[in-house]
Amino acid sequence: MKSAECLAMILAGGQGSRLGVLTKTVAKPAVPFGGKYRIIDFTLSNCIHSGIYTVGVLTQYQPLELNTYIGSGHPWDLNRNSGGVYVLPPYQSAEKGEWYKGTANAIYQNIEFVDKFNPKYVVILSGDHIYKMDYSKMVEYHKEKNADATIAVIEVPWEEASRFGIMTANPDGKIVEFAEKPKEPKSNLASMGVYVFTWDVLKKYLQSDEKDPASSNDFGKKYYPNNAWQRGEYVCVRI
Amino acid sequence: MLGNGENMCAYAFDGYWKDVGTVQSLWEANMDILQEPPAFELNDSDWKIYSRNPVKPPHYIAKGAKINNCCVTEGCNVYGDIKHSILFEGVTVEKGAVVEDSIVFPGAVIKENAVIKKAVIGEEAVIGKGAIIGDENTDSSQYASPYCTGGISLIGGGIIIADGEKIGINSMVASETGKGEN
Amino acid sequence: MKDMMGIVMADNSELTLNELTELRSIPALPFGGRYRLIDFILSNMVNSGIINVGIATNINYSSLMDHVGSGAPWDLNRKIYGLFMLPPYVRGGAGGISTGSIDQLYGVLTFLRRSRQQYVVLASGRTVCNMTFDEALKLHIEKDADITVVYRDVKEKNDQLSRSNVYEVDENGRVNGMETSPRYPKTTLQGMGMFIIERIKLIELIEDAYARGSHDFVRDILMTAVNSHKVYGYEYKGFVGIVDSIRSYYETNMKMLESDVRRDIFGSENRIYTKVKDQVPTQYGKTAEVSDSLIADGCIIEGTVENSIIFRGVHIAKGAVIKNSIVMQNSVIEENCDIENVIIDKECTLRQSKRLVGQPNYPVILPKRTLL
Repeated sequence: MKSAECLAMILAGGQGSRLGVLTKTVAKPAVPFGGKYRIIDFTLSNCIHSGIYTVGVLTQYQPLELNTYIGSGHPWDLNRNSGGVYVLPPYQSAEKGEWYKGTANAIYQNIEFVDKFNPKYVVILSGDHIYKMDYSKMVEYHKEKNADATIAVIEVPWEEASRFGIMTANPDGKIVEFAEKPKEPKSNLASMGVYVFTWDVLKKYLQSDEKDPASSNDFGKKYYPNNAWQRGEYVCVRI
Repeated sequence: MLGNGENMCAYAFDGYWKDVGTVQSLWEANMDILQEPPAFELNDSDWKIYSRNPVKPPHYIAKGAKINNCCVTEGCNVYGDIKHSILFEGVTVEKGAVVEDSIVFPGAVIKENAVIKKAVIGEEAVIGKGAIIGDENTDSSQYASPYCTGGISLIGGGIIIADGEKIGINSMVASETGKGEN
Repeated sequence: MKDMMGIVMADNSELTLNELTELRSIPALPFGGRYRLIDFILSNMVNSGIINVGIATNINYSSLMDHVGSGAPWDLNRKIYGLFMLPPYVRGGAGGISTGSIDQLYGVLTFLRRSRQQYVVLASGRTVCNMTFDEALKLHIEKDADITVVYRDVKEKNDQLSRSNVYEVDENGRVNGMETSPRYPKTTLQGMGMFIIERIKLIELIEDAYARGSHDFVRDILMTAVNSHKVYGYEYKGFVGIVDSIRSYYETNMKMLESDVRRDIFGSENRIYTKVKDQVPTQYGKTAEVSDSLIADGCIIEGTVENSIIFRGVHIAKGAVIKNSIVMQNSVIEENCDIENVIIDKECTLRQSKRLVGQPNYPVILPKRTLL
């Protein structure tokens, strides 16, 4: 996968309030893990191993430690002449200047950044999970299925299913329903917070979503559209 | 999006994936590394995890120190006993101190004869001489916290726990405790 | 004030470290569980504000080049100045690589000429210490010295003194006498292999010596200068380890196990930088027993380690016992081995129940990639 084809956006702006005092002065992705790492190292390392060398890290809450940690990206081989890692806090422009209202809004505010690199696909990631994953395989899958959006799912123990965003699918793979933290989950396939979008399509939706005052501006809630499954559109689950 | 006929796919992932959004899940995920064999293998030559490396010398284990089933990294100085725990860079465990089932973040100092059980110790925290963290016999109500579940205690970054202080389980200390030298 | 540049003389012509240096030059010798000897002088130089450093190589320098790279760990990968590897100079027509230090310095002339700094710190890459050159430079300027030598007082005469430059320094700091490798040294003032000279002056001295057919910096330039020029000495009082033999290599490594020494070398605000290796933390198993040892990252320790230095990526299996030894990177010591007073070079494998014991004064060396 050529890096120009793909760009990653890591949503690292959340507070991670359930970590109590650990995130009092640092954002969750900057919290130490595993003896010498920080949580965001896993996502960043996944990116470079997957051949994605253009990465935007969207920060907002307590970004100082995270910004300093990421720097120019040298530890992850991301200090490059073409591509590289960019820390993207909310900014002031001639027309506007506002905080990120939600995850989708954060991407929306950085449309220009993404357009600069003009990728075909954008991989949206959260910066707060521990896992090793080759995103290029997911992008290949996305291409094969001619999808506009692909979401990564993982089986979780049934007793924990109500903590996650759950996808319910038919035996043939069609997704029938999406429910956010359902009290009585119908399936145990949880959303991992890893998404691949065809950029042109995502851009269109971000722009129209922004105009919708009723929108929650949040990725999980919107782009796994509750609305959407009605037409039973083509959805594939690869096991 | 789907409603308009867009093509949406789900890609099933099979492998270790942990959301470390709570103190308990953070602690558990760290402990996963200590299992033999590890539930999550950091030492994967095909998939190295890169990070900003601290500039510190190799860690030093003193005479009389005991280590059992732990992970230790550069800059640490271990004079006490550590068991089933993870020490991040530059951590000091002084003589007579005991650290069990715990995670100690960078730069923290566990002073002489302190006892840490099932805890997460924040960056640059100092646990005073003879202090006990995660003491089952201590009344936890003073620092009880909804953030700390599963018997785990959490000491925030930079916090100094006074000599001899006792902190119970499921407790979170987010600001300085009483008097005492550090 | 910080108008200094650095030159590291990475040669090892006359030294006897045998198998350890067969494939690498002395400054490239692994040290202290994580470093290479050259890391100390390079770190000392950049901590003194030097941003222009040349490494004059001789033979076997690929190990060094690989380690040092573009100088990133010392922030020397710069647009202006930075780190330069200066390949060996071959004296015209003589065939083969130059062996004398004058030849090496002659090869460095272009580098000296195109640099703009006023002073040069000239050093061998074999000294373990954590110092900066500000004080020495101050002395050099105050005394209007032509050359300032950095030395230490070993207090009691020892073997190593007979392999070093030994100075006689008066109460003003003026060097009045100098011996090189004396059988019976007159003083206990040992040269640390570091000198400060004005760049222009160094160029003159080199050209001059070269024209006269000289080969050796110490004998032909330095010793003559003691009489004809103003040579001063700066005494460094912190910890110093000089590696010029198997024994001093072993002993200097073992010194790192002492907390005072570690505090001196690693506890300062001025850090010792080295190439980053992205290792995982070291894992200790349930049967690990470790005492008085320095252990690098990336190891798996299931056996017993005492009074030893373990480099990265080493695997010590259950039942294996390592004492008073140095084990370099990626070596594997299988179950129930018994290792004492040994230096194991990198990527060695010792199969089960092997026994290897050296003498406290004469450690056994296992060369790179040995399979036992």
